[in-house]
Amino acid sequence: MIGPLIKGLTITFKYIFKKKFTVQYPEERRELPPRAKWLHILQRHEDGKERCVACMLCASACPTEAIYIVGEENDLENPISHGERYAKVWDLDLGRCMFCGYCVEACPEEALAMTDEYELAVPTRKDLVLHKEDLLVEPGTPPVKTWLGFYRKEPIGAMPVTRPMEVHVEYEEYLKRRGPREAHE
Amino acid sequence: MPKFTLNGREVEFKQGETILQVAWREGVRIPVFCYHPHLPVFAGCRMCLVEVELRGRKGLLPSCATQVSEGMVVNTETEEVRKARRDQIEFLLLNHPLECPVCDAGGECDLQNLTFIYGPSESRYQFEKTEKEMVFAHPYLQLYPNRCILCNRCVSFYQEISANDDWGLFGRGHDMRVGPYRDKILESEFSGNMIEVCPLGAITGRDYRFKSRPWEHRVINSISPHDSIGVNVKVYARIGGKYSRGAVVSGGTRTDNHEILRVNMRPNYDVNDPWIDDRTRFIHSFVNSTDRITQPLVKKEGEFKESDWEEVYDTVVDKLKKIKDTYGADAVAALAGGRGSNESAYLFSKFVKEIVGSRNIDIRPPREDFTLGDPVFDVLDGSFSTATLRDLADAKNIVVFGTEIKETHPVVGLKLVSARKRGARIHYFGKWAGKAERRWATRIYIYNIYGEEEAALAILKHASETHGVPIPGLENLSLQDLLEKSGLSGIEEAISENTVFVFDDNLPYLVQKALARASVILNGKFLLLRNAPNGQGFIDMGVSPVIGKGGMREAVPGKSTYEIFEAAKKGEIKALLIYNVDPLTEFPARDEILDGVKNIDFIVVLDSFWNEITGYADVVIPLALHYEEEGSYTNTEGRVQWADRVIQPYGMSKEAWRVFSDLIERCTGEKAYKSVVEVTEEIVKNIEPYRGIKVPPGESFEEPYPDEIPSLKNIKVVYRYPLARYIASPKEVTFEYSSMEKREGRYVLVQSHHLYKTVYTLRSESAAPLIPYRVVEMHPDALKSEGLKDGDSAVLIGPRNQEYEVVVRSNGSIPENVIRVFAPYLDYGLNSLLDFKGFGRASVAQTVRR
Ligand code: SF4
Ligand code: SF4
Ligand code: SF4
Ligand code: FES
Repeated sequence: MIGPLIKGLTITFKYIFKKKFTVQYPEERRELPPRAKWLHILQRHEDGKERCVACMLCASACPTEAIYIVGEENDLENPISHGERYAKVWDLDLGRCMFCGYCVEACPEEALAMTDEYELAVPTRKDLVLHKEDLLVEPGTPPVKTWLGFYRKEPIGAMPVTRPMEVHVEYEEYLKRRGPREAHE
Repeated sequence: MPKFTLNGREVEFKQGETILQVAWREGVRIPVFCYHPHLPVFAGCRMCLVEVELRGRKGLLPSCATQVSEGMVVNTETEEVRKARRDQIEFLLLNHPLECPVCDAGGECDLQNLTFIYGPSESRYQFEKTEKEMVFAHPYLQLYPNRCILCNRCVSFYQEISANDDWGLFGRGHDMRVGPYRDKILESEFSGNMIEVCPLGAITGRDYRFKSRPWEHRVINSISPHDSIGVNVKVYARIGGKYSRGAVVSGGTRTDNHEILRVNMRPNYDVNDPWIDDRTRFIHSFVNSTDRITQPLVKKEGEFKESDWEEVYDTVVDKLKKIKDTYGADAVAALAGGRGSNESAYLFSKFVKEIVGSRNIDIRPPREDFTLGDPVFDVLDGSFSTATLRDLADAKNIVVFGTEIKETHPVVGLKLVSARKRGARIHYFGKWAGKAERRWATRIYIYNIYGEEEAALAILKHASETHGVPIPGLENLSLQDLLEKSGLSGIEEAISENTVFVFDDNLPYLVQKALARASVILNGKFLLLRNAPNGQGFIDMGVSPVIGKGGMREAVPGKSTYEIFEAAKKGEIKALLIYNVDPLTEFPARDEILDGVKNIDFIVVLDSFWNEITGYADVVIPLALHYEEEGSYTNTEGRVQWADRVIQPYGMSKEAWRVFSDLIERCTGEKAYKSVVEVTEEIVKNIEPYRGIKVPPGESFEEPYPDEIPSLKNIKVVYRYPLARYIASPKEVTFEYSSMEKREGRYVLVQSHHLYKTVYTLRSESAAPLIPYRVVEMHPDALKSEGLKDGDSAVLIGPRNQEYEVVVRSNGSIPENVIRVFAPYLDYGLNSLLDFKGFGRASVAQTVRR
């Protein structure tokens, strides 16, 4: 009986003199790994315009349907984004989001990125729905590399806007079933 | 059948078929850009290249333009073919901006899809791409020449199908582009179809701009609410709120937050082929108009008080009972506008005719001549068209009489264009003819403004003389006289055996009757174009003073609209039910109608929009609009089609059939109908012509269509299935003719229609640039003599010095003494100047000044 007690206490005493694991959370914070996928942000171009063009690819990639977007035409005199369209509504429901990051991967404009902001608790469910104003960064904020491009050498924005791919068997099957439009039936 | 080899398989083909047609039929997918099954072959994109081997020679040929011949060996997926397709796409993408994220076609773009499948992953093009200016040719269309791959589909559609010439392909090499020839709004009323024929997003619709993506849509089958052709459409709606509880989307007054995004074509080869007109496509925002009535209202001490359904029903039932008990059922009258489903019409007619017991119910405008009866009913013992839309395409000789097809029933125009292409002779009889008519008419006959009836009688007289059929009542008239009075000549050419007549139900009684009779004499057919969107359905359901349910003659006819207002002036009408029509802005003789309306004690208005008559109502009941209710609709040829609900009713409004069903429940104690299908079932049971029509399980009626419809002469029973089925018994009819008196006055006001001036378009904000707001049209010479220019604002002065503010436009095709005014008159009260006698015959204006 005494044997196991000594065994256990030995471990305890061994660790008493080592560096502590516990972080005194609100006062102390742990450094997160660089690819941490927490709160989304919507980025801006260097000139302060929004990067998002409301292409809605993130919304369609999202497995939990957490994103809701309504596009709108830019006022050409005073555009909000580059190009003709911008997101009038860009809502993210954190109550649904499972932080998979597919949306970030889908974004062709590198507008969407995820940060290490993990303190997301709010008093009501309703507050979990974040709107564009909550997610947009201040103009002049340095760009965050999307985690997809983490190992990439070239700077943000240097990637071509669309990336046509090689023959995609699955997609072809799908088209065969459906036909891109009536003309193909 | 001859055979050839397709991908190693023996395949049969018919002579004259192309490789592409056979391949698609056999399920072999060949990619295309410029080929479209409904358009002429252009063979310009070379995407459809296939390897063809014939008599030892082998090569790549465009399959869309190569006819199959016996013994051909075709391979669609060899390495060579794939390489050719890849290179072809690389070429197509040389100048393409690759802006899919901002492009509206993203997700439903053939270029995107085919590049994904066949295209190279990188471009080798090192130089700057050509930049071309964006083109705005129509308030609803936007052309991005940068994206265009010059497949010519839009041009083929525009020039061949729509038969207009202000859109085309021009320039050479890198500068080649499609676009409009002039910087005016496109002439065609079908230009929106170019959005859908364009394989990519070079032409996009501005109504749908950037709103959504195709994978988010819910697609609902519906019918166009705008005309009586019943154009088949797919309505794309998107659900707001589902994705994000905090989202705010337009249409927020609806419980389910649905939003109509766009309206696209739904092919139905009996009705609209695949094509739909621009009004159908672009005008849908009226459902969210600020003019919508959101609440039931009851007037108390001269003011509307917000109310609830219980109170409204009680008021209506109590009042009607009281009036019926004191003055008899004949003191109750009802008017309808012909907008609404068959189910609503059926219960409306049931409520008025069976529950209230009044036969004073009508959907026609108030006109003295309509008191004589229903013209077609008087000839055939049934009020329906004997021709179908498909008959137009096959007819050899067509007479279009007095109808502005482009403005009221645009799809009929397409049928006429294709009929003309097939070699039909099309004769247009009208007060004037413009460019729209010249697109399809082989010959144009212009009669005098006052000679409309004589022109129709001349046709009848000629037919009766050539066929030796006497027409009682017309013996004393000579053809010569009639021709002289109408100012026509050479009508012999227009009239031959089996002629198909096309006319609308707003023409004078005598005209409709004469043409219907003439078509019977000539063993021909006629297509009666109803002006109300569901006019045919309403009449079949018995919303008519002379025709009962299912086309039976009413033993004692009720009052027509004209008689209702005449009686109201005398104080004989105590209660009036008005369902989806505004007599004060849609009918002529506004002042006289107003006299009548003020004399009526109790007015119930059931409508979706605020309008002038609602101001005089005692009870206002908000109704759901077309896209908010489901039900069946009968088009002008009698075809019964089903429309599904797209969005929830606005505010507190209810579907009309629900309102009538509730009222019936309150009066009789019968249980109210639970669903619209119950009403449909009752219609199918009770209304003779609809017997045998399948009750919809939420789809359109799709039944095989008999190829030959025997003409009336040879057979008594006309089966029109899934058309409503009628017993027709043409009989000898008597005509009474007295010539029309002319009125003194400098100008004749002629009521006319405009594609974009309807009850719905006037409520659609987005239609604003197209609506002829306050516009009257005059001949350029007349304008000059008044010292006016095209587009000036002016004051039109009536015979009693009434003044109306108008905007004058010049129109070279109308006669010099004519002022063309457009119904409905919500924007100007010009209908005060028109009278009950009929439009364009008795209405005068003194002058126009700046
Ligand atoms: S991280 Fe995943 S679940 Fe969250 S919004 Fe993006 S795609 Fe949707
Ligand atoms: S994928 Fe990117 S650009 Fe497209 S809507 Fe989402 S955030 Fe905006
Ligand atoms: S606009 Fe579209 S349909 Fe017209 S030529 Fe260009 S790609 Fe073809
Ligand atoms: S589809 Fe055959 S050449 Fe374009």
